[in-house]
Amino acid sequence: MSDFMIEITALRKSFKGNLALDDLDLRVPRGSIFGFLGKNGAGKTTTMKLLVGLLRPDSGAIRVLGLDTSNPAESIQIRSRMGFVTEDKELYPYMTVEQIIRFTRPFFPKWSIELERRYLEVFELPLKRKIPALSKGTRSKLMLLLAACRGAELLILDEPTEGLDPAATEDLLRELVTICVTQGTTVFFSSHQLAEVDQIADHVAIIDRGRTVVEGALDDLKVRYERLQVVFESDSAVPVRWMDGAESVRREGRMVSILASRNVEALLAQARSIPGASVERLPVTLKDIFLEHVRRT
Amino acid sequence: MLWYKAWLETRFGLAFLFGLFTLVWLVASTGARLAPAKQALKPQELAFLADAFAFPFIAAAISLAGTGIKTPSGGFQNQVKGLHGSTLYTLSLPVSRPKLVGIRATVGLLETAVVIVVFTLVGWWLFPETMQNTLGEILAHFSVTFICSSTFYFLSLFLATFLDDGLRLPGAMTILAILFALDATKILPPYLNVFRPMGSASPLITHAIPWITLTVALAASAVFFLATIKIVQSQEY
Repeated sequence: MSDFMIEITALRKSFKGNLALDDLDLRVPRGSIFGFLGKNGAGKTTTMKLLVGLLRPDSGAIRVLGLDTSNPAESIQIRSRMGFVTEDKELYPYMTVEQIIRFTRPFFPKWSIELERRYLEVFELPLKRKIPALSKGTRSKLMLLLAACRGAELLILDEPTEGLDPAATEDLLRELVTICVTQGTTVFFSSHQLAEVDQIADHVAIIDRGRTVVEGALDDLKVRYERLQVVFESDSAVPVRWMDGAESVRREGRMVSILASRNVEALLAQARSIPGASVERLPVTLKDIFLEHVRRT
Repeated sequence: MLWYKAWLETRFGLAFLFGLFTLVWLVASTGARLAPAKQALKPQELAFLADAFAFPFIAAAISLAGTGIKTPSGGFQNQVKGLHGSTLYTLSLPVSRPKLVGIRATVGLLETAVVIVVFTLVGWWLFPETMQNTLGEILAHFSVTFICSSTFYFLSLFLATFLDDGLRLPGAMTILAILFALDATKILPPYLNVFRPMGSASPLITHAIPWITLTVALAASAVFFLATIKIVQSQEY
């Protein structure tokens, strides 16, 4: 059995000549909470749809739960072991909350009635209300119930907290962690809220223009990256070139901010070698890493 | 549960058809009773009435058809109703696309059969003078009507793979109108007209079963259904 719940290799997908995914590589470890980040149009939703079998790749390979998504029979097996929350949170407008739960339940033999009852209570879902009468936030909660109660090994969530108020976001994030810890479910989710990814994810990938630009364990990334803030005595003292390892360099007058991914000590030495330069090492947040990588393009 | 979903999707359409047909039958029977007594119908008049009687069943077949998976483009109507997004939910279930389409198509087809049987019986009850046939001819009429209307059903199903409801219904009706025009101008060989055996060429009138037309109807239905499955399997959402 592979250590990875999702393995994507050299995935390409284009729409009418526009390249959406450009040799995307991604590995999602089993049991992880994996934050999938990128600007609008970076290719996050396209990747998720490819995982579920809603789209077909132009080239490359996708394996989910060790199975090939391009094989129709294996794709059905994958879908029986995963849950998917769509970006727009749309469900059948002619069903009530109770009806959609009753409709979904029989497709999944491992459906947990106990978890269903708990979520109905925690999320305060109105059983008799028609789906169009629900707010987007309540629909998000309902979709999480439908995805989580099926005993899925993998949850693919496209912006699950979009439209939720802060309290509801907190509830949902807490439930995601609980699902991951208690059921061993792998959670692969996209979000524009970097703070919430930072809060619950243990692994992240950042994609830009259909390519993975950063991938790894969040803790490792935070250790790997460091920000050096250097203030020089005069403009003329600022070096034109920095040593290898400087991912990005921003200059504002006499101050230079460097995001370093390796060779930090050598960069520090370079800065300190300039007379009158004061150097400060600052911790890096996920937001720093994200912005530096997507701003460059 | 896909049967349940298909029923929920179609029940209002079916109820609407029942309401509409009841109204039409009431108006027709009231008109017939108020009209002055008339001698027996001429053959052309009978043929016209028989065709007019069959037309609503084609309309029912066309309107009750659906794939259960909305067009990938969504179409204006589907997007307004939030149906395109829910299609993603359907397709993320562990069910093959042919099965999804097959179940939805079966439900719509069964409902079409119910409409045909109920309103044919109602028609005969309201106009008992039109019913002077043997049980065998009546059963043959139902079978022929069902098979021929199925062709229009599967045509509508096929159109549903790339047109939303707002365009599918007029699209199917346009094809039906073209069929009528070809028939009226005698360009179309009579055995290719799958409409006539439901009306003026019904076994109730001709006392014979139109085997060739039935074969054509079944073949056309099969082609439309297979094309539907092929398209739905290849579509991206």
